[in-house]
Amino acid sequence: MPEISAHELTKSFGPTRVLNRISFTVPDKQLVTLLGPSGCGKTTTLMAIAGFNTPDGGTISHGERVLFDSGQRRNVPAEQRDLGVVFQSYALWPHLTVGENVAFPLRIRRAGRAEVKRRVGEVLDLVELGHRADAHPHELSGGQQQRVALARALAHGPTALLLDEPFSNLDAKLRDRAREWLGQLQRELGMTTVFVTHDQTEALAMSDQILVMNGGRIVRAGSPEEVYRRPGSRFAAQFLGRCNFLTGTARQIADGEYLLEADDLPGPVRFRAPAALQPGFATIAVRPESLLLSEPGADVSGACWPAQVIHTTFLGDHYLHTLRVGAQVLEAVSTRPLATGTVQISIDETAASLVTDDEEEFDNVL
Amino acid sequence: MTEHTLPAAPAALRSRDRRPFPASPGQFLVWAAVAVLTIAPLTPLVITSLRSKPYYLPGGVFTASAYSQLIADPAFRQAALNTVIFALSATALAVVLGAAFAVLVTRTDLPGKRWLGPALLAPLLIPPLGLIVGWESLYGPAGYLTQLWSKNLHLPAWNLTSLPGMSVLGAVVTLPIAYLTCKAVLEGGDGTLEDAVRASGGGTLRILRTVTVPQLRTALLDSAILIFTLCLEVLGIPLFLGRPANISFIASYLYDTWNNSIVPDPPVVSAGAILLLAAASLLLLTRARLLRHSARYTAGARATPPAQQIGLGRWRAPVAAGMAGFVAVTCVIPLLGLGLMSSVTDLTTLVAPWHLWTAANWHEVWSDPTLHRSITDSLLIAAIGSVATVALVALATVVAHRSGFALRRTLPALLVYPRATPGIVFGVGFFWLYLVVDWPGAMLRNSLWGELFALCVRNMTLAYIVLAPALARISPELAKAASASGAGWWTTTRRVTLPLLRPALISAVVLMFVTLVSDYDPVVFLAKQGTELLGTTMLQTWSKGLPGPVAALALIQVLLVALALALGLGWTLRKKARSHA
Repeated sequence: MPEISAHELTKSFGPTRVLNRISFTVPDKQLVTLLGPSGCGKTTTLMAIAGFNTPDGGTISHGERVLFDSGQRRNVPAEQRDLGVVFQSYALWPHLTVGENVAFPLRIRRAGRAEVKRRVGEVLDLVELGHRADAHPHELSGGQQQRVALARALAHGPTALLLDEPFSNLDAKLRDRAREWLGQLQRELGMTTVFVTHDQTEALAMSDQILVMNGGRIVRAGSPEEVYRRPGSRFAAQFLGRCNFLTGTARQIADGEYLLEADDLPGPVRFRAPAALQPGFATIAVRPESLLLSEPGADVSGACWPAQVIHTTFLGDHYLHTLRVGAQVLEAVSTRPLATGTVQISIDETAASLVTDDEEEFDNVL
Repeated sequence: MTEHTLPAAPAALRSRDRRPFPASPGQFLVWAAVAVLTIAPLTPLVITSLRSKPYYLPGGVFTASAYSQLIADPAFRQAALNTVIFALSATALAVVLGAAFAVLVTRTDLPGKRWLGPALLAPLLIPPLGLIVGWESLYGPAGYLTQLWSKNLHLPAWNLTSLPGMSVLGAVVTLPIAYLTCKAVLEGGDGTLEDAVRASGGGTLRILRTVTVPQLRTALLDSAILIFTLCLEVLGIPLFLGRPANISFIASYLYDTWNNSIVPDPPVVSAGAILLLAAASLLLLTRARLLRHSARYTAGARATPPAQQIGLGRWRAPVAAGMAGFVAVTCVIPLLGLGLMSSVTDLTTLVAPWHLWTAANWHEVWSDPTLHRSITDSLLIAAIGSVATVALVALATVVAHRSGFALRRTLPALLVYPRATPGIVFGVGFFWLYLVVDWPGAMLRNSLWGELFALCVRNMTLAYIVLAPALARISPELAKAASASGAGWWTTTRRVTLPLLRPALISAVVLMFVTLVSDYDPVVFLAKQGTELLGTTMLQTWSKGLPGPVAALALIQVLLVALALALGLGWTLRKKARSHA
């Protein structure tokens, strides 16, 4: 299955730039997620790959084929791109049965009757709905409809799969199961897949790579762990989960190692940054789970500071604490309730990462 | 979890060279057909109105003399004045009654409102000529009920063949427009607004005054302009009711001038038609301008609970009786009168109707070739025309709203314009078009097909206003999914979009059929010996002073309409029953 690559895609609706010179590559057999808040341009990007909206500039290629090239005025119509698309609403045709829905792409390609029957059976078995071929879409549950949409997208043997928020119409419990199922199916089929979502849990759980988008640009790209642990910008850090930000003056102590000295903290925080850092103010991000809590007086290696517990929220499988450390307010988590009103906290030295303010390009910090 | 493997897709699929049918030439044809059909009849109208002599006479020059001649004619000025008075009074009455009925049906606990509401829409579906003849035969100066009232009960009688009398009938015919517009606003309104008045201590009257009526302001304005525009072009009412009293409207003035002129086809009629068209267009433009900001005054898409019903208390029964009486007097009794009149030799209070029983009228309809032919021709036109129009309009609607065709944005305007144009204007326009364009005009001029075009083009708008909202409700993702599966525009339209539109297509065909059976003003100048239609034949037979056969024809019109509606309704109900099974 060939890769998909987009280069310098731009698109404006009136004065608003919805895509601002976006470039990325979806490697062969991988699942790449476009993650971002609504209006960030993720669906516009997906629909540009599918052929439903035409960018103002840039190129999109898929393996050997150039699907879109503004320079050469080349734009392959959606119906000739041979991709599989699953829409947010699933877009199952209500006047056709499940079997007829799945057979549609094959009939368009004038496949023989026997061939259509065999293939529809195969694809429906794959999504475990072989027994519902004669049902109409409205007789199926949301999860089943989603699987039919997937079967239809796979029926003609597409060279890549495009998924537009396929879980957003499912309830929370079903969403978890569908996510696991689809992730496993994608890995086993080895299908190059572009996935669009605004749900960071979905993105982290399913992706080989995540592209975090904001304001028509990709602000961070990388594996789920990289993106989560080293978000690169304030926006990406906040979008992917809870985060503490510490601002102060950075001082180099070794090659690639720095100390952040903040006035409102009792002591400096160590962090790593690969590139040479300009001296001056810097902001670092620390995830709440990277703040280690211990009882006062416990023996902890490395620097540790006293913290006062302001507020605790019970969240089922963990507790979220709001703590005052010096003049700073930080968030931390623990699996057990805290016995005392004062605790010690220490910061795992690999946990802190440098982030930029959002106006800057993320490349500048990498 | 089971191991998933998916064999490769059938190998032949991608290697087979699929050459998709290019979409744009076909889309252009659809657009061109709509553009030519709607614009063509208006062009010769402009030209002929500016000529000094009728088109076929040699030596005419371009001049505005037809316009000055028309405006100088005292008869035209009187007709224009009559039309404006009629339109103003009919509009006022229709809007007030329509809004009141809408409030009663949607907002109060009126008993029997479930059938009273739909019954109010009857004048939209009853063939207009049938209703006029029914009214005339019962409530006219020599009408059965008028006679009964004044001669037998010696009570002061009304005069239907006067401007106020005609205005009442005009209001009855146009009332459903005001009713529907107001009802839509009231049903979509935010119920909590009224509850808020109640919570602040306001009573029913206060609710009506502070919330309900102000909410309706836009709807009242909208329907008032629409009704006024429709009233300007009314032809049947002055022809049937105005003539005995010598009251002429613009449309009937043009009709009479056309028929009685010494020189056939005078430019004056074209000039009058253009003036009428200009007035109608101006009004509709004003309406569009006034309603530009209407979105500001409507509640958002947020679902709000329906407002609590207003209790009518001890007025429930009298109000319901009044409304039922209104429906009976305006629609039910005239239809019964039509039946009575078609089955007696003479409708008079002096002799009981059963002594005058006769089948002669019905027999005449059957044996007189002209009357007989008008039924079969009308049926033919309605059957072919409804299907053909809906087919074209359906494609045009899909091109307009679901395609990348360059000129698609012009289509809605082209599709809405014909119905905004007075029917008689269209009639004159098509007449000239067939005369000016030799081929295929000469062929169409003397055949049923010419009338079919005029009627269908004029009523295309109705099919569009049924299909466009239905298409808007179909998610665009359904068509995109077909595209993503490899289907081109035509395949998507044929296999996905049109099948999904099927219920709306059926409704559109029924509505077109009903309209084509009843409509007559676009063809009054086109009907000739041998190509009579129901409406035009009724006009001619009436002017010969033969109300009996006219009543019989009107009743046939009503029955055809009822049959079409029943078939359409039956289809819908069967479909519904099946989908629930």
